[in-house]
Amino acid sequence: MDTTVLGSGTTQLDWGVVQISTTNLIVVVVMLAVFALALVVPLGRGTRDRGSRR
Amino acid sequence: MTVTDRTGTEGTGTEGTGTDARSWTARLRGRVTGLVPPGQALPDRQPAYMTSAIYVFGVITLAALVVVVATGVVLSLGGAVWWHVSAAGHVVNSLHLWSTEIFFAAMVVHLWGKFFMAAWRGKRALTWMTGVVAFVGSIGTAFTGYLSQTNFDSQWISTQAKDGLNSVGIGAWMNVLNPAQMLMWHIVLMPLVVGVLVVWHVVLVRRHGVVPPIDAVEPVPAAEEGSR
Repeated sequence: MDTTVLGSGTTQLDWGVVQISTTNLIVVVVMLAVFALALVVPLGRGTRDRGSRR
Repeated sequence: MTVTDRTGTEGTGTEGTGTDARSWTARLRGRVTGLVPPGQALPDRQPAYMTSAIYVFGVITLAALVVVVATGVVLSLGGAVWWHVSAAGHVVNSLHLWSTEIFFAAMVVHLWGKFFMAAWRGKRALTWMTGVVAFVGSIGTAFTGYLSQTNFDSQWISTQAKDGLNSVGIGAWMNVLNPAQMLMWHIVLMPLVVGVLVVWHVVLVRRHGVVPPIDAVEPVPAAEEGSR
């Protein structure tokens, strides 16, 4: 069930004890997606040790 | 490396004259230089397991914090009327808000990553706890920031929060209906607390190294390897 808070222009999602605005729900979902991606996405090429480098 | 002193004598620069290891400067120097292993304060090499995006969220949090503090300093110069009515004030105000949003989002992803990595392993309990307390302190800083907006939003938040704070008995010391107190907390007290915690946290990370994945073998730092 979704309701609109008067004057705020935001839509509130209401599932019993769980009440959240759609905006905040989107932010939470995006953060979870970023977290999941970060676990699998490699970053940086990594360099192999070479005797001449140090 | 050699250095030349004012008398023209060459040396390594560490000799000094009449050095007293008990002096407070010598003792403080020893404490400061011993905080992190040699070469680990700003390392240019990291273990191979750090080539993963999950390891960048701590630095993203720090970068966002730099923007938060910088824009906060500019807001404090301009004042409330400036950030409410001028175009430049609106921009800086928005930068302050959105850098805070990125700060918290990156910090929470950093927290998730470190939680599932059990980042308190390897004598890193204090690193974990300073991060936890810095997180809680950051929430307090953001809260006092929302109270300092000087608009209807801050009025609404303060009148809602007062009952909660009174119910736990701290309303007399943290009076959210006192905008001057909340502004001072937001721009002096809380940044000082969070700043000290963040510096402490980062020093501990550099001191003990970035926690490895659970099944990875932690490399021995080059400085330690050479001393063995």
